[in-house]
Amino acid sequence: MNTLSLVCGDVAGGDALVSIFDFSIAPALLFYAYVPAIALVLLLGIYVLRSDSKFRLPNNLFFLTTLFFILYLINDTVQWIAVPVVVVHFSWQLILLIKSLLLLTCFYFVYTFVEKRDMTSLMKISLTLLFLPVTVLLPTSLNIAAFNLSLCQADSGVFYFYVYLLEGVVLLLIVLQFIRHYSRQQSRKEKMETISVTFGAIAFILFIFATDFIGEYTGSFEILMIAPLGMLIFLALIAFIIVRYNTFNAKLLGAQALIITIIFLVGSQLFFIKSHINFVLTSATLTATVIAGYFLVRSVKREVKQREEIQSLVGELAKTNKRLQQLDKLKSEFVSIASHQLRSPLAAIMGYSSMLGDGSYGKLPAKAEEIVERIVYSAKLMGASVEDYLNVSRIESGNMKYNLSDFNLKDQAERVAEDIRPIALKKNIIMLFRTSMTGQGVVNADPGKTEQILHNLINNSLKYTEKGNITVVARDNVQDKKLYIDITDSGIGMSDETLASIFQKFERGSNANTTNIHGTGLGLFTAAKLAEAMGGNITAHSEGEGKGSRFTIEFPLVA
Amino acid sequence: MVPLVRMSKSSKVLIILIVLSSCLAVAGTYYQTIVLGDFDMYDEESEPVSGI
Repeated sequence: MNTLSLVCGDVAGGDALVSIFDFSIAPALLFYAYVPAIALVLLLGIYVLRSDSKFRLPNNLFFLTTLFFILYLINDTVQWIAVPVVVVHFSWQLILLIKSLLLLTCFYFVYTFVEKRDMTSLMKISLTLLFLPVTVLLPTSLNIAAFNLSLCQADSGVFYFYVYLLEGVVLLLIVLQFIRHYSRQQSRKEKMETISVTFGAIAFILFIFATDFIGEYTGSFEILMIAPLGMLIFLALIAFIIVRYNTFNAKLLGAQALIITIIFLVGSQLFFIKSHINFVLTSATLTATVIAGYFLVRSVKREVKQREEIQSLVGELAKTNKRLQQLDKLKSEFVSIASHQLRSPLAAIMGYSSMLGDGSYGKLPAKAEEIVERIVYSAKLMGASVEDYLNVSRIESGNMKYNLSDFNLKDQAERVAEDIRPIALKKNIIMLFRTSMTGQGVVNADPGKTEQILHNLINNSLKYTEKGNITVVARDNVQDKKLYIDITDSGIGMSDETLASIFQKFERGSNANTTNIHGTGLGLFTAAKLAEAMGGNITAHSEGEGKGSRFTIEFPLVA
Repeated sequence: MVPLVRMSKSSKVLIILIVLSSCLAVAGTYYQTIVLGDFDMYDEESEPVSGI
């Protein structure tokens, strides 16, 4: 007797030989649930596998998990649509094997993904030992006890429930692994990846377990059709970490995933449409979706590529910037060392030449006195430059020391203006000091440093002013608790371009070179940095070239 | 980022072993059930029968 000739009672044809599969006996929901699920699972599995050029174990295991899940769905479908009893029975027998493979592969995948290493040999042997009874007992009545012809379904044997044990063990191991490893994950990305993979796997196994259990308990196996939902949750979480964190090295785009899902959802309707008009309309919708999706994905891909290029450039720029900062530090260190080396011989030159000029070594001829005066003057200039370099070096290395105390800055400004007045008069420049104060003008700062700031700014005005006057004004704003010192000159002024960079290192006015002015371009930079370090600020204003300048020193008043 | 966990020799052996044993189990079950029809079945209204 042909084993295929016996068919279940609900199939027309009695015990006559009929075709092996009859699609009409399965509920429509079965195809609607399974076909898109199979397509999506297969697609993502292949995507993850193909995106891996280094043959990573988690990628391969994820692909294997998706394959076994597809086998599980196909086997379940066979149970619904197979006509001969032997085929239905065979399909029932395979459930235990496929589920066991699915569970173990899923666990192996989660393990390697979360632990970031392969299993130990002991674990592998334990897993194999857990699995081997399944292969041995698969054909026996301990797996499937008998076949119920009137219900066209199999009765589970004692060993069939072994799969529940496997599900329980795998679930427990995944949860334990998560608890053990979650706190050890360093970055948010790693944590999110672990959460997604772990909870996806738990949802997947729970759905299979729950639907199986309910189906077995109630004898109504339609519930099994919602089992793919668990896998879809798993896939959704996997797709999320792929899109968000580029996990699996797969550059899957959110738009790509969305379009593929829409195409499968629309396409799967074609299997169940009975009306010709609906079929044509759905086909047209599907075609339009495919075309629009193609252009959308292409455009998003182009944008992503551009973004990646920009990110790569930003990375290179950051590296170059870091290198430049290192070079700048090296340069400052070099300047510091060189300046220190220059200072000692300079002191000797200045000291001895001054003594020569004073006549400490006897009266010099008039011509020699003039030369000695030049030597002293040049040495002073050089000494000032060296001091500038050293100050910059100290500021940049953070070694500048500040002795803060409360003192009257207005009085200090007046004194400095008085000190410089004779030099200004030599150039026929009038130096004025004015006050517009309502308070005392006491600030908390380092008096030595503020004096240096005032000297730098007033001397700077003096250098760039050929005729006219320089006015130093001290004013305060009690409401804002601020003291302002304005140094206004009628000098060469500044363009907007010069104003924007006047406080930068080695920066000099664009017309400085034409006015035969000595300077390192470090005076304003030093003044600004010193003021900032003590909680103050310096700003510069000018109406334009040839229209003079105004520098304003600002310090908070002591309450 | 997926950790760079390569497939070790023991992993390959494990997978081959599981796949081989699964194939053997499927082949055995196929032969017993489909070819021989050697399994118990019953109709709820009658006594269990053995084989086809």
